[in-house]
Amino acid sequence: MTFKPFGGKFPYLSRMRRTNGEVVAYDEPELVARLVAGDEYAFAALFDHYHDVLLAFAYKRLHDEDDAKDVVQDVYIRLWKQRESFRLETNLENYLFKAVFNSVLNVFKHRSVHALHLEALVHVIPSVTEGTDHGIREQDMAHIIAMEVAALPTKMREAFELRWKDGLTNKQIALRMGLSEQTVETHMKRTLRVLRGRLQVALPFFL
Amino acid sequence: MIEPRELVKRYRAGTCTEAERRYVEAWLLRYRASDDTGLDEKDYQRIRHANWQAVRAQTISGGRHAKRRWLPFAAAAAILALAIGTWLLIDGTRGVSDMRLGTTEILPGGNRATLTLADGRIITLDEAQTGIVIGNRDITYQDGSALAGVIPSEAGESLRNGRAPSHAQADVQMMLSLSTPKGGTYQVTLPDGSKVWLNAASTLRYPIRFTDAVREVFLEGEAFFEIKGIEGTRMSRVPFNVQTSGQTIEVLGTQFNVSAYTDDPDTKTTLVTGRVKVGMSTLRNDVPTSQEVRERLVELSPGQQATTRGAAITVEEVDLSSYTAWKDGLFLFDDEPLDAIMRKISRWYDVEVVFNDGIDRQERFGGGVSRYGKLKEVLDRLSLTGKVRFAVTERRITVMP
Repeated sequence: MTFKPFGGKFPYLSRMRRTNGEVVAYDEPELVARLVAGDEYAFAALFDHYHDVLLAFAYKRLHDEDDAKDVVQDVYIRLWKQRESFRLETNLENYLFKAVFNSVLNVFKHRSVHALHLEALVHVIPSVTEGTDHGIREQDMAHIIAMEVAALPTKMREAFELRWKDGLTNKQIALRMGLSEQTVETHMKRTLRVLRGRLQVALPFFL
Repeated sequence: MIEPRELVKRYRAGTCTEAERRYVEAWLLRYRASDDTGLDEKDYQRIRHANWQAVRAQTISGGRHAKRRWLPFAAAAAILALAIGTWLLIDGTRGVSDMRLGTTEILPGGNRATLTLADGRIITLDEAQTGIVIGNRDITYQDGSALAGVIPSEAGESLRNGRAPSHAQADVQMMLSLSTPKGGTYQVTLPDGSKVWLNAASTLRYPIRFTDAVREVFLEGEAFFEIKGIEGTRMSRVPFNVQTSGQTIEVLGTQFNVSAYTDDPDTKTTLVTGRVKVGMSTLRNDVPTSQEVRERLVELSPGQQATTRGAAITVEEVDLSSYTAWKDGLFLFDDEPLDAIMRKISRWYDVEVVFNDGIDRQERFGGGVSRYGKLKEVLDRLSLTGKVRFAVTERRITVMP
């Protein structure tokens, strides 16, 4: 018979609702503060706000819906469980992406087959790997590269994997994909450039 | 408004205001999300919902007592089968019943409704029947017996030809309208096979034939919908919309309840299975352009309810059975405010309700009772809580502290 403000009920909207029912715009600092205090509405609002981008990030690399789903799910469960130790000044977006990045990497480690052949790549992308080898083992680096290769656009990835996993030459790749050798070469160069850029962005997550 | 390029420049230089920074970041987030991944919008929605259910189960609901499910649906069905008119699990102090009833016994509602034809003729439907079926060639009761002479000439013509009139205009004109009085309930099977259960004091307007463009019905009052959306059939691709004064509901094949009484400030859509999208009613002229209205659509998942009050829509998880039990012959109140409970009683028993001073209309009560008992039985059980008493004179209930 008692009136329950929450009543075990829960909004599920991209906009959030204060406990008094007022609908307000997304305000991250406030939401994070309230999350730390254990506010369920704030948690739901943050879930909604970041869920899709995190899922996209994970799915692009894993190409498996269930794996991507599980990764994102775990990250949110951990966010809630560790909310009390979450520091207010932490950038939530960075925190979430870093968490997803590391979880995706773990999935890659379990699927180690993918990575093995890419180990040679570590030496091909020196600009990224040179300064980092003190902290990251070659094995890890190969996984990270494999992960970022997985996130490449389909055609680029196909060509790249034919070269680095199946060991085909540019000429063979050109034949198989119905492209000119010249095009494949350009593809490879561009891919390496993209990959370097991505790894430079990705590594801080890992470090 | 600053130019986007200028905004990005400032963002890079770090000279944005806080609001501008958030604007740019929100845009970046959307941009990244839209990056081609192989998942489409529907996949995102589906996964987001599944993830939310899983995350919630392991976070919020795990950290506190699970919601008191005081009357699961199966139990409600069992009660119906036994036709017990007792309140269940009423919590709160049990007081002595102090109900003073008038001498006349007020009986519950039943299968009462009228059907208004396109030409304005009103037909009183048989109380021994439970529902009508709008068929291809005629309108019958659910047991197949005919509603003699109900088909207006022009509609009858098109029905007998077995096809819809060629002009959408003609369809609009040929609306049928099923109305229940206070104390009435009735079912109708629409031309596409969808079923609608109409609660008391409600009106459903629908075309005699649906067009290929849209299946649209208009509701005032309360109804439970079971929309036919068989995969692969032509009709399943035709959108089904329910229009009420408060909400417009876009149905994607499903079972749901809509409560849109004009004497209730809230319009509520409760989803049982499938999917629906709910937005501000497009019938309202105080809401902005259709584009903006569309953007405000909220998609519900089973177990959720969208409530519209004024210009605000809220979504929450609810105990489904308390919103659909009426269809199965039960009043089921899940911590419902007294005035909402009394409105339901008033509609079903066709009585007027007066609140005396000192009554907190927002006080919440929970419990269940058969809708097919006498009014006295319902009020008796409510007064068992010791918080309210009732006096009944003629067809008026006075609620007293």
